[in-house]
Amino acid sequence: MVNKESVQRALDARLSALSASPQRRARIRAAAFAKEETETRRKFAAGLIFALAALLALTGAALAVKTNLFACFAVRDARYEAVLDQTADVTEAPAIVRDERLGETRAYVDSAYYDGRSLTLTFALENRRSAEEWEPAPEEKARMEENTDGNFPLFADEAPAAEEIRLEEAYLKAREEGKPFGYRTDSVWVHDTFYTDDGVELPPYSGDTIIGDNGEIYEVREFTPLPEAAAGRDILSVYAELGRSTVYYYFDGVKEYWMVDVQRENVGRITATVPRNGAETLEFSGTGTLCGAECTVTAKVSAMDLYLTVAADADVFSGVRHPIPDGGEWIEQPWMAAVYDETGREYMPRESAGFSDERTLEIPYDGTGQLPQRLTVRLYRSGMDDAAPTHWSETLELTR
Amino acid sequence: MKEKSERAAWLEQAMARHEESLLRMCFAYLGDAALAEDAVQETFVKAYRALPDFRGEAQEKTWLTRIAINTCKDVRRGAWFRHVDRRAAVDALEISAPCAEYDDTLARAVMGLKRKYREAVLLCYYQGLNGQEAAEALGVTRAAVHNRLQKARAILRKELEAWYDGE
Repeated sequence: MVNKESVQRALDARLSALSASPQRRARIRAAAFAKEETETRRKFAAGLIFALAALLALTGAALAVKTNLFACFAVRDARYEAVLDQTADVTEAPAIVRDERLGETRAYVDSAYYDGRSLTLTFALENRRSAEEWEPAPEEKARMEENTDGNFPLFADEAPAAEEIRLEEAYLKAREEGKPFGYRTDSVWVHDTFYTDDGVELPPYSGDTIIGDNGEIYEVREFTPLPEAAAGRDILSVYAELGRSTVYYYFDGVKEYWMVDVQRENVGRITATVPRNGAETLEFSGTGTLCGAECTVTAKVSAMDLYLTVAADADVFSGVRHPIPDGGEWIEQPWMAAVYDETGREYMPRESAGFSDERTLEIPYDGTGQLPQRLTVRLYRSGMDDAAPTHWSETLELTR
Repeated sequence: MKEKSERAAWLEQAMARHEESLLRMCFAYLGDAALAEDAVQETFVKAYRALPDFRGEAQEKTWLTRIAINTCKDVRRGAWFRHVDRRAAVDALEISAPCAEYDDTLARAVMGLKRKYREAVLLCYYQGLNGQEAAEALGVTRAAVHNRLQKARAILRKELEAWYDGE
């Protein structure tokens, strides 16, 4: 039978040559610790930016440089660095969440890049987490889920308070000694999705986080390309809801239990009103032939992204149809495109290619932080499996 | 910030618990031992970095599997990866002595599945993620995971007809 057990047995046996290795672990350790040191240096660089801002503010020269959170992330991402001078400070009144355990949590959007086609914004979340010892009432214990994997607790935070570290240690010690012990952590967080003030959903494409010295979180999120309903506005007003969660851990002397309570609504909301900057968004186009069909290729490009559309006058993008046993079918799209700017730099495709019909292929890519002069495109067919491309198109030159 | 020594201790434990299964999953996904090595290393490095953000809403294995599968996808997105023929990679991999007599028909069939089906099988059957966890890891709906698993099983059933008969 093909089931969990048979697949596990089969793969473990076939791949038995791939086993744990002290050398590999040494490499992983070295890479992890080396990366951490790099991060520390970056954080130091970010700290320098803040220090520089403070110094310049004191000397009355702060207007000369960008000193927002965006600048901190620019240290870590060349795309953000390239657009730093096109960002705006959009700080509004912070959202305040009052909680008997956390006290007062503050959250606010800090700075943003918005060119009409893509939005990237930064925000801060301060005093967002606490922990305390806890023992469940019988009805709470009944709600808890038993943890059986022995890897408990694993809910560490980048910036735990001293109390949280103490509680974790106490929990582990109690478990070792077979004594009952429990604790809870309370935290406030920002939902993944932002919305425009008229309700258009903006799912994030990517993001990054910096942790401050006091546990505050600084985060950047990128929404690109924006949904059509939200793109092109002169001013983009957005918000995200705050959420609150409590995680409970309890060892009763024999077994481990845990439970999570999450409040996703009516906690608070961070808002921002972002003006469109003057950054250009370009459109390139070109024509060529593919498998005998005439094709028109267009690329909408901003510094942050590129969106390629290939329209053919015949059904060259017909997917490979796979029936699903219980009815219906699944369509595999085997076409992809390699896109290069005039310097030969390749645009990196995002997670998935889509196609709207058999004559149209649409593929999103990451931008390079800069706008290209011209683009070169080569289409190829490789299938979703691992085979090498079976067909390459001619090279297509796209111009504005 | 959590002490480096504590996170280092976590890394040691996590490697002890998951290194092997993640390495094998990455290999089954990528079909290349060197790339699988890189992917596993990158997975632990990313996890080590992100450990503070791990809210514990998933089990450790689920979390690491999610990181690993996304890392494998990043590797696949690399331009050169798409142009390399990796068909010989499985054959080059020796089977360790205790398993030398093992019939590898099913393993080969799983690794020969198209990527979408292979992902679903690896996450749900090999790594033991449930439908929702696999859906989140793959960025698709639970129904899609279910459909892919069904389709994968149908393909495997058909390809392994003789193997089934011999069971």
